Amino acid sequence: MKLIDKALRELKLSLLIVNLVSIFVDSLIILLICVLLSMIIGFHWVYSVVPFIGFLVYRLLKFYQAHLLRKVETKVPQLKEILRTAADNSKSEYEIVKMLHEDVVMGMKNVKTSYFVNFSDLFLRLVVLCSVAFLIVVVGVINIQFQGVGNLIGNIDLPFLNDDEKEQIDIEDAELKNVEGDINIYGEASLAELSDDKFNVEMSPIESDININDVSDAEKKDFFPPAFPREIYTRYDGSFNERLPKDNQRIIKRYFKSITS
Amino acid sequence: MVTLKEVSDRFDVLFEELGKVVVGQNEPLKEVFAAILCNSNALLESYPGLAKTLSIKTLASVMDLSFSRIQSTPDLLPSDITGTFIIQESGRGKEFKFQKGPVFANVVLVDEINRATPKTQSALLEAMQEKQVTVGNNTYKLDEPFFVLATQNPIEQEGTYPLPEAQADRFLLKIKLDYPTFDEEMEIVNRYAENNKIPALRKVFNKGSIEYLQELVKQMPIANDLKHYAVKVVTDTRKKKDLIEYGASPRASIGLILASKANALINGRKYVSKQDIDKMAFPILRHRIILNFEAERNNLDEDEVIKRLLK
Repeated sequence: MKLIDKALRELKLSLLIVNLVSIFVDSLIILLICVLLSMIIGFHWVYSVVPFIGFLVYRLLKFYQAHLLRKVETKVPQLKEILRTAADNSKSEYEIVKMLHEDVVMGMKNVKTSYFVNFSDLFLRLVVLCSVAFLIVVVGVINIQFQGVGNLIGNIDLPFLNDDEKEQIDIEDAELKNVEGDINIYGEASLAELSDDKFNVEMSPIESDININDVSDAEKKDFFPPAFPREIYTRYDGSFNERLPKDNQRIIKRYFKSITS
Repeated sequence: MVTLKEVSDRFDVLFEELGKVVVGQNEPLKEVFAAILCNSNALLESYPGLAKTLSIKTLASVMDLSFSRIQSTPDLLPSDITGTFIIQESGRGKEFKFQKGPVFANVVLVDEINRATPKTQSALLEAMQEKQVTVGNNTYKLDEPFFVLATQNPIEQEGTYPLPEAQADRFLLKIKLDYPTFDEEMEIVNRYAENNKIPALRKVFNKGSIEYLQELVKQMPIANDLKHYAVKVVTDTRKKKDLIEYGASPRASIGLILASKANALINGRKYVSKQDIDKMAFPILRHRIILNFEAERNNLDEDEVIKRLLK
C-alpha cells in the first residue's frame, strides 16, 4: 500500500473515532432528556428510546454524507484543496501526482487529532449529560409528575404491558363501575335536593331490630396484594371492616334506600 | 523528470522575456499560453493597435516556434491559407509542386477572421481540427505543436462574416484584450517612440518542451468535487433560461477542466484550485453562450452572466 493511502486511512480512522464519540455523547444527552420528560409526564421510559434511535440514525447519516477531508482542510490551511486532490488521485502513477502525494504526506505530519476535538464543547456536553442524569435522580426521588398531561392524553394503550397486567386493570375498572344501583360515584344527585322541612327521627331502643351490644369498633383488615387503581400511588394501605351483623347491615341499607327513593 | 519548480521558473523567465517587448497584457498572454499548453486554439478580441501581432510573434519567438500571419480579407481564398500546387521547372521538366501555405507554421495568427468568407474560414477550421490539410487528393500533416490565434475586431462589423457559433466553439478560449493603463502606455511610448530597437530574446522553450508541458497538463490532478463544480458551471449555462438562450456544449466542460489544469501549471501548482476554474470560466464560456433579449435589455454582457453563474 502506498504511503499516501496509509496516511489517508489513518487520518480517516482518527476522524471516525472522534466523530463517533461526539455522536454517541449527543445521542446519550437526547436519551436522558427524553427519559426525564417521560418521567415527568408519566410515560413509560421505553418510549424515550425512539427519539434516541432517530437522532442517532440522523447523525450517522449526516456523518456518512459529510466531506471529512474538507473539514480537515479547514483546520489545516496548508492542506487546503491538495488533500482532496491527493485522495481522489491516490491511484494515479503520474510523476506530478506523486510529487503532490509527497507534499500531502509532509503536511499531514503536522495534523494532530486535537485539531478536531473541541474540548470546551465536549466539556459542556459532559456537564449537560451529568446535569440531566442528576435531574432524573431528583425527579425520581421527589416524584415530580404532571398528572394533568397524562390525563389529557387519556387512557393510552400501553403495548409494553403483559396480558395479566391488562386483565387486572380491566377487573379493577369493572369493580369501580359495579356499584349496586348507582352509576354516579358521588351518589344520587337527588340527595342534594333536601327541603327546608324539619326532619325528626326517633329511634326506640326497645322496638329497634338493632342490638347495640353487637356493634363494636371496626376492625382493621389488610388486603394483600393491594387492589387499588393504577392511577393512585400510595405507600400504605389498610381498610376497616364494620363488625355489624349481616342482618343489621341489610336493615341499614334498606332504610337509606327507602328515604332516598 | 523536470521538477515543477524548474517548470515554474521557466514560466517566469518566459513572461520576463515577453515583458521586454510587450508592455502589460500579462494576463491575456498567460491565457494564450494556456491555450497552447492545452494543444488547442484561441480567439482574440481586441481593438486595433493593442500589439496583438507583436505579442504572438514574440511568444512564438521565445518558444522557438515558427510563426506566420494571415490577414483576412473578403477575397482571401482557401488556397491562400492551405497552399496550392505550382508549376516548377526542374531538370526533368515542369512539374507540379505543392507550395505550402501560411498555415504550415507552428503558430499562426489569423487577423480579423470575421472578414474572411465562410469557405475560407472553414478551410482554416479544418486545419485546426484535424491538424492536417487536404489539397486535391493529397493530405499534408501540419507540424506540431500547432496553434492558431484568430483575432476579431469588435468594431467595424460592416461587411464581415461573423463566425458561426458552431465554429467559434472549436476555439478553446476567447481572450479579451483591453487598453493598457496610463502607466503602461507611458512605458510603451518611452520604449517605442524613443527607442525602436527590440531587445534580443532568449529561447525559453522548444518544440520538445512544449509537447512535454502539454502532456504534463493532462496529467495534472484535480479533485472530484472540483470536476463536479466545473461541469455544473457548464451545465448551468443550459439551465439559466432567464438570461441565456443557448448554453455551452460538453466541449466547454472538457475545455474548462483542461484550461484550469494549464492555469494551475502556469501558476506553479501541482493541483487544480477552485480559483483556476473561476478564472478560466470566462474565456471558456464567453463565446459559447448566446444571451437572450432579457439579458440585453438589462445591459448584461457574457462576462456579467458568467459571474452570476459562478456565485
